[in-house]
Amino acid sequence: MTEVSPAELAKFIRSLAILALPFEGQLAWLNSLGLEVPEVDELAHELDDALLLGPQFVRAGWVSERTLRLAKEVDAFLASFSGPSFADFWEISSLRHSERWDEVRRLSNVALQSI
Amino acid sequence: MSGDSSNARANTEAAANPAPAVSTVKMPDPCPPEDITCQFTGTPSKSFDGKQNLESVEDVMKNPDVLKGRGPEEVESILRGSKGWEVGTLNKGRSAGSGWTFRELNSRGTDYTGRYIQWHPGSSRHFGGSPYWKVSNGELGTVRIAQ
Repeated sequence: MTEVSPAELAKFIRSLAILALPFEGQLAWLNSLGLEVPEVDELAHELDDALLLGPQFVRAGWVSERTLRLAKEVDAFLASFSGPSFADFWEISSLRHSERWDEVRRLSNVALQSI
Repeated sequence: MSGDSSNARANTEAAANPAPAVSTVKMPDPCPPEDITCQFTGTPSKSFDGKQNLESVEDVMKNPDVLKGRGPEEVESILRGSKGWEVGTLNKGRSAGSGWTFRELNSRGTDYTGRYIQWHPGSSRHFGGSPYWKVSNGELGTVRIAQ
């Protein structure tokens, strides 16, 4: 028996799906948040928040261990470019042009395909 | 003569359309301890600084707008000690290691429930980003509001 809500599972899958979107889709989502400027950090925060419930998703039988591991790979990649010293990575221009963000999209797609 | 008549007309119009009075809304005063006749027993919906009342984490869950106008230090000072809630910082993004998070654990303290309050410093002023709050109330979803 799990205590976690299916709504949290939906947030987890949505966070991966948004990370897998092309730039235009990601920008549209960021703009939909109603913030003064699009905060690229939100792409990573959504997955980070959802992954805290990951073990419960597995125990509930909603997500496989493999999917959780692949999602954690996306999270770890984002963590490797986190912090003030990587501020450029979190700019809109980087989200549009950086090969690192293309790698985030690829890893997120792999995690989604495992579901 | 014509000046007198125009002045008289202006005075008449002024009398008919007085300037709107400045309204002052008085907040209810909590009872001072020395006033035993005071009848006030409720909690004002707004503090005297104009902020909405915030006493517990459930106030935030029911109405995230209570966070408006407050910084993370003030909110932590109010919510500190909430049983089953854990304080932390943001883990990812340019703000990793900063910001403020407050997450709920289940009754056994073993798992997160999905309910949380976060304060994000926003991107630097150079890019126009401002601090904001993010509240996730479990099944009801996530809201973001400017600080």
